[in-house]
Amino acid sequence: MFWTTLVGIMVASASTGVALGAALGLTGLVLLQVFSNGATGLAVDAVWNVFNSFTLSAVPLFILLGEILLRSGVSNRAYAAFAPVFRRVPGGLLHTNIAVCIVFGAVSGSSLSTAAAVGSVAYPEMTRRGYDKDMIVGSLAGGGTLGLLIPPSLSFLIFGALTETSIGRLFVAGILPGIMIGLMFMTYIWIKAARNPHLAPRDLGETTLGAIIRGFGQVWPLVLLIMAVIGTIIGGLATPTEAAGLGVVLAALISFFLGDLTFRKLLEAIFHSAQLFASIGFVVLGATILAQSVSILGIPQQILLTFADSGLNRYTVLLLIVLIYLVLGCFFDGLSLMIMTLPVVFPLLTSLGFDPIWIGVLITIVIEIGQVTPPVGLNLSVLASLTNNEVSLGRVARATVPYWMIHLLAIAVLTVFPGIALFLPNLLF
Amino acid sequence: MNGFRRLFAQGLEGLALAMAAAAAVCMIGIVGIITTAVIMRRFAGTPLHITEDVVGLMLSAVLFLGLPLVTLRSQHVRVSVVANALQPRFGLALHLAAMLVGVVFFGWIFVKALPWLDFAFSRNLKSETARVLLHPWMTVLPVSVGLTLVIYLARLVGLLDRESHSTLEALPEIAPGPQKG
Repeated sequence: MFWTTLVGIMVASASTGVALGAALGLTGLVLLQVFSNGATGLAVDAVWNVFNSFTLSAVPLFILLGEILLRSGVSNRAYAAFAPVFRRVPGGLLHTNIAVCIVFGAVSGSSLSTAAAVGSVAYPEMTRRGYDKDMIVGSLAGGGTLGLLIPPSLSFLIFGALTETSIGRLFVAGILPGIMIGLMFMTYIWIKAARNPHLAPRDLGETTLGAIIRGFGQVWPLVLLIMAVIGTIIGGLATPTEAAGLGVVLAALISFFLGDLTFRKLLEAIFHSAQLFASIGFVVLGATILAQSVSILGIPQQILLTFADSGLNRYTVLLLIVLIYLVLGCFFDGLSLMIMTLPVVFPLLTSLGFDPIWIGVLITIVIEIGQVTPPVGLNLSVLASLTNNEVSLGRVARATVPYWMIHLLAIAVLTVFPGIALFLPNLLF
Repeated sequence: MNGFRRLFAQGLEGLALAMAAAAAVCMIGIVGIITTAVIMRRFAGTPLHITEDVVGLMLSAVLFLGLPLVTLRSQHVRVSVVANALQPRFGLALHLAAMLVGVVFFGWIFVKALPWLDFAFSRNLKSETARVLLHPWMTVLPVSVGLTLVIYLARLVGLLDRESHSTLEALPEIAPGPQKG
């Protein structure tokens, strides 16, 4: 009866195309009304308590940081710096896309900002040089997802706030897996470009060490930002929220003096960030009500008991969860999916002995996959619109399949070697 | 009737825009307070004791003040797969069902939020550390939910045009279009 009500109301209401937060929240309210003796008043308290949070306030700040950088043209500088490094390597500027996505991801918390900022510079330049369009958008969609894994990350922030896991440890845990996945992307590009040279025309011009050093001299503001944001968290000088606030101020100053940021663009960035946060926050609001209704009935504990009695080993359970995420990723965007499922998945996986920090990394990778899974993969839509639909959504999705597979491979590697995620947090905290 | 509809839509848009502007001001406030707190702690050795409480309240304000405009401009995260597939044949029915879900949800929360606010008002509730009076901040929740309810109701009865779905995640205008070459 409970599950029929939950699934029935959620599917029926969400299928109408109403705001997802309203669909989730209404489901939670009905569950509270029917199964908890009409305790719907708890919903308002739960929502107020979740948002009245210092920790969660880092989310709009990191959104704002990304918006400022997106409008400042700072990605042009990063691109110019990395371009000479990979000039003579098979794959050329495709590697630059991945490298710049890693760097941009280290100052932006969102995979979408990363894909948009790097893509807006890379796509025109690379099409002009005769690179294969599918390879370009594939590398940008794949590379963009690294923005969620490389700290600072909206995914880690929300995960940490909702599960009361250390956000500092989560941020640090994302570094090595992020770099690992970036290197896996580059290896794929290398192999593909070496076998099919027409996909990425080689630039046989000379690259001097001086040119490379001069290029990197242009990106010191980005390095400064990375140190200010990540360095202060790792060094214990600031909490993630404080680091985000300082990062916003620093990004605005750098972008004013060294980039193309104007006062008008800054106001646009602030207004847009507040709206984007309201949009994401409303999903959190609905999921909070649903989570309240589910937890008050002891459903996570019932699921734990069911799995404990089933005799399945923990890796089978993990595999099932990943598969469920992959399927749900076709219908929900990544962050919404994580917010909805955490109340059940997190206690289940921790009870099976998985490390909470490792779970945060795993779930972030799985929702990264959701960002590039059609039909709702937001990175795909952004890249299709960035090409003015020269490359259709379907083509972008097909071009992204190898990167999708690499993410799955990364999950397997991290499951076998959890130390890749846990080494740095254990070392630094 | 058309004149009234236009006036009503303009009024709602103006109200929602004013609230969204206030949300942006709260965003600036969050950055300002956090920066000041860090500077004071590091350089003056004095923590700003109101930081955590006020930033938390401002975060709630950003969400609730921004909500009506996000709703009015149909910029919510939504599940579009089924709705898009059914749109050509069942567009009107889907629209009515979606608006009904919105009306029931926001109506329900609105009704529950009134006694919740009344309790805070009658007891003069204050925040734990900074002792900030809570009800002025808490008022934002029923006001925002109430205005969003009005938007859904107006769409349901045809006072406002149907939703034309856009997304805030759309590429900002700063990204240049591709150069053909």
